[in-house]
Amino acid sequence: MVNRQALKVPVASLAAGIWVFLAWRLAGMPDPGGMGRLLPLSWLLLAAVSHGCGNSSRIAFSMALFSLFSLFWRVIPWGWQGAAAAAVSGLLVMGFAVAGQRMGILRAILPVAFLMIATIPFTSDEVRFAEIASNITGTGGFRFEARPGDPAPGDSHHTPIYPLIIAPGTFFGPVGIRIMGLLPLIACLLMLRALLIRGGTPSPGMTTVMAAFLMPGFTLLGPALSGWTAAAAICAFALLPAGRRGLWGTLLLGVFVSALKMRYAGAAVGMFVCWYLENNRGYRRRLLIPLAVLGLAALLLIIDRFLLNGEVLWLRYGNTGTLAAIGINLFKRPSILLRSAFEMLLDAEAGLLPKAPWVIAALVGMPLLKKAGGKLFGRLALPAVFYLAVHLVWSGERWHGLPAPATRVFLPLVPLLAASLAMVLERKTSRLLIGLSVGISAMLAAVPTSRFNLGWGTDNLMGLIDAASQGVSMVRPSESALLFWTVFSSVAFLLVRRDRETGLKALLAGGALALAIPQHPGRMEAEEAGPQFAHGAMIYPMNPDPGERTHWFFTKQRTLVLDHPGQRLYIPGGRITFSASGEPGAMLVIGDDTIDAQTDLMPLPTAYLPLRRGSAIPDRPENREMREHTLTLRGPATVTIPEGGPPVYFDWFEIAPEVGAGR
Amino acid sequence: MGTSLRKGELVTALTGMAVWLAIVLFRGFSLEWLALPLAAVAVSTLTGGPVFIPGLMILLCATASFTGAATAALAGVLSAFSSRRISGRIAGWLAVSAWVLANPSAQALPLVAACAVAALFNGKGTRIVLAALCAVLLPALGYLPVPANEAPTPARCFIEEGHAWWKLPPVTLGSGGAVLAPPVPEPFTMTLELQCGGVRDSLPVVTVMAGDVALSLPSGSHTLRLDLSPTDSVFILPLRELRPFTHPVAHVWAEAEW
Repeated sequence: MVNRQALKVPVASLAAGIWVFLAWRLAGMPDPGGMGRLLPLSWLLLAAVSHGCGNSSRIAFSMALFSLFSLFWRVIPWGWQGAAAAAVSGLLVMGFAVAGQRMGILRAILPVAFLMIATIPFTSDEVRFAEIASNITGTGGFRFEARPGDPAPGDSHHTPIYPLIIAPGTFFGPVGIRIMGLLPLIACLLMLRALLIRGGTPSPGMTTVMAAFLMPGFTLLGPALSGWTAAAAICAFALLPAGRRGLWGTLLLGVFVSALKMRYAGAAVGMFVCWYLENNRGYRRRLLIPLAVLGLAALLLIIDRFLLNGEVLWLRYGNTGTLAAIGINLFKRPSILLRSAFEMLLDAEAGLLPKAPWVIAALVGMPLLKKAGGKLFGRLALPAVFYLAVHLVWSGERWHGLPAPATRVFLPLVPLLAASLAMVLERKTSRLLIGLSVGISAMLAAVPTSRFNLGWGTDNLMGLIDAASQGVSMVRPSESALLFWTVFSSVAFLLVRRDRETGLKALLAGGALALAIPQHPGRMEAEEAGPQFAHGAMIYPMNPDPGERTHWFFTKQRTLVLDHPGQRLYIPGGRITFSASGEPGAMLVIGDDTIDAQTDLMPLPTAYLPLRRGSAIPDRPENREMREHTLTLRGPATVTIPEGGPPVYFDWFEIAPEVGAGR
Repeated sequence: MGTSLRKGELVTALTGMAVWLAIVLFRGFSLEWLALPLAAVAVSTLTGGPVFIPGLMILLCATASFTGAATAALAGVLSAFSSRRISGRIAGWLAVSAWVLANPSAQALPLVAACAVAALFNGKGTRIVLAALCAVLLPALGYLPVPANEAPTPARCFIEEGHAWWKLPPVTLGSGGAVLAPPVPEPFTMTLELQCGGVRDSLPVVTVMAGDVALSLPSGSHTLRLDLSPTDSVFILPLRELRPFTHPVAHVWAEAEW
């Protein structure tokens, strides 16, 4: 006897796969050999694994949206990406439903992981891990250039721990490495589900998969990066038995995560602190914690230095400049460190909340998780919080590591956030934020390169939909934007806490309105000027990698530069204000007139004095102050530099037409 | 009957109107923007949490005139076919109509007609059948909305000493082509590399026009070296119309020396 109900979703998924394939071709959308094949294949995979799921109405909704975008794709600049996103959103939502079935975790991630493995560029730390892994197995199929942070040419700053895990995959090339990279993810999710079952969560499978898919935009589902391994280690720690038996496991996991990547040393400290608090009562004993932590760190350093020849820690981080940088971050620039902490949450390019609004619901669930009793909260929260704090203090403004997807930095938080989300999953407000996160994740999947932001100041996704305001940007800091979005997030938190659905809807709509209205009407970032304004003008620095700007003192923003007389800016008439800098002798020719564009070098910020010999600042364009100029022009004019003149750098333009006014 | 707007729906509808008013304030009145408040009212009648997202997307897309209005029209179509209330379906149909009135296109008319018919049917099954027929027939017969503005887009140029290059998006069905302005006021030699494809025949995919030269290029890789005068712009124009199972595209790399 065939169970028709159980076949409903597989049949609907099969139909959806066929429809996506056909509609893509009927509508003539681009990339038929890429997304036009991979998406239908993902749906077919879903059909193969979704036996027993009852509700197929969400597939219909996803396909309706997909069909509409397919109809309109030529009139919307991001139309075909919207169609792809609509199809992906169905995959995600059905993944949540499949996760509650038998073997649900594996079945849910299969279609989505396939899509990720096939679409995300093979780049970032992944390539270096692949190189080390191929050296371990002797396949030697991967060779890459030296990267920042490497101690010496040919020697990586990565340890061989993670490459060991993915080493078998090197026999099968990048795809093999990607597939091996799924193992830590699967291990993490299985342990996380076990934790949630232990905590009495009603939908453990669904919550687990939700957190994985939406963290943020399931960017790292597939690429071989170490974040899921660290998250798995934290889950393993939460599953350890109490008492002295747990101590050995704690120490083992602590050493493991530190050796995995030094970034996770904070998680190791958090694990040890958690064990200590659980097993020692009374203030006097607890005061010993800092001493114990210091002792443990010293022990690790000694073991590494004298038994392992410093290969794990000293070789890579024995540079005393690193310790000086920590001191500077903590004591000389605390306000910048605090700002970076906010940007971790709110930055449009790299922050957590803009790409994963469901985290607000998880934050609401945290006190409930704590109140629910048991040791779960402490065991997940302490490693996560210590990890994040140490990472921030250590790396300061470079916490995001762009252009690699900033998501990887947040992966060790997944267990805590998932367990917290489980406490508020049934609330309507949580569902609303999850729905919004699904939309964002689906767009990230449809535009694979959007995961790799370049610290440009404009988020790739926001740029794609041509948002007028960019929200919070660490590259273009704005106090008002930071304050607005901080208050916005806080109000959203309060509304979820009280489960006020209507209020949250209104707030989200207000947020959309804020994105729709430019922060500075009429202002244009010079480096983003289109061909109607800039002809031939270059960008400084031309290489978009934000690593080039890591050690800039004052700004991390790229500028538009005129350094050749053939380069021109076209300005309509009216009142124009612009911000520019230039070396001594720098001039601008505007119409028939010239103006002086030279500006002074700025003094070296005192916070950096301990790091440098002397107080002289390098004579580089990014170290010159920007000066505002305001002109009123009768009509259109071109802006150039004189023949042989020094270059002039532009930050922004603001154009307010006043036709008829004289200069 | 429950025909009155619920609080959440009212909020969505009112916010859509507020966004529209803000846009009118910042950008001035435009007919196509009428699609926005109508679509917001239409979307507000759709039930269920995830459905809120299209509404939010409309608001987000209020950022760019053409994109935002087109997305509002798209949400109008969604509502015209799927809203349980006739008021929502009619608002959706009006949203599409407003957009088509502002961007007249004979190819979009069948869609407007289909929305009008769907708005009048109360039966869900009938509307689903109608939507399925539209989704298959409109693309298959080439009745798809096309952009009102098909002018070629200027490409961003970068100039160094004696050398220039351009940054060009691919020329596809959705684009009106590209135009490359002369880099310097002196004679120059432009090298164009084009990779054309996505079609199943040997007919031309794009035309390259510069000065007195006009070349129609079929599928495949092409390298062109053009000696041009200081006043010559280069136009790369798509030649193909929409046909099912073709995806015409030209990837272009361009540089110049003088």
